[in-house]
Amino acid sequence: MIKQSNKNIRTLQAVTIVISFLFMGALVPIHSHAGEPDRPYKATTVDECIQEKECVWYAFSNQLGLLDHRHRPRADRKIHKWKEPLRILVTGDGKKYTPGLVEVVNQLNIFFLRE
Amino acid sequence: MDNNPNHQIIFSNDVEKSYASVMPKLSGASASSGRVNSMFVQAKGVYECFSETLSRDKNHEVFAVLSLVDVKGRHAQYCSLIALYNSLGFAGKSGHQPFSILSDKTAQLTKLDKFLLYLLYRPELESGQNIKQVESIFNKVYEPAKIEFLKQIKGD
Repeated sequence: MIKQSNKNIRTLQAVTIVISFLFMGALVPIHSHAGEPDRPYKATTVDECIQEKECVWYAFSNQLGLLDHRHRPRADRKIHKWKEPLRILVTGDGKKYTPGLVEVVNQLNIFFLRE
Repeated sequence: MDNNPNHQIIFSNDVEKSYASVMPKLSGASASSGRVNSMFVQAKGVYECFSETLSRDKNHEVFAVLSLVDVKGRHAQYCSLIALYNSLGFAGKSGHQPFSILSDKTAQLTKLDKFLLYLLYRPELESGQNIKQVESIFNKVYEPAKIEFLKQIKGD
């Protein structure tokens, strides 16, 4: 009778342990996901992002280095801009890449020439 | 593209050799050569491109940038675009960058990348501003800037 009871207890313990592991297994991804900061925007396409202020601010502040890796503001960081016009010199084996760069610089120029 | 460059992009099949040959010429004019050297040591062999500000003044305005692109790598065109984009003020990012060339090696500058440049180079935003100042200005200019930008690219 005692032996049977011990066996039942051991079975119960084993089941408890298995259940515990199952729960832990389920909790691990939830826990690790909780460690990642949420994205503070809803946009799923580039056009939606441009229309959504939170999305643009997230991208803007992040790319400027004003947020840390957990998306928290970095009070010590400051933005850097060119005041002078950008004058690019391409040297070395870059001949085949130069036209692509010129095209992009020309595309961007329309944004800077807006007095 | 210019005789008096302030951003030199060197395409090379031996980035280390190119860096060694160009840095002595630049370091005399740059108080930040120690920082640049240290960044280069960390980047070499790991990244296909290297881009670093050589000088900026006390107001955080940028005066000179050096970029090195390894043409042996598969992404030389992409690297040169990233070097250009970063040099304009977007070198501080971390983690995933949504809807940006920074997260897609096959892409060109995206519409969002261009909009961010359009915002950054508005006269209201100035070098040396911190996140509070930038956010306050952003909140005021976002709507009008968006309308202007979308009109510009539609007519482009």
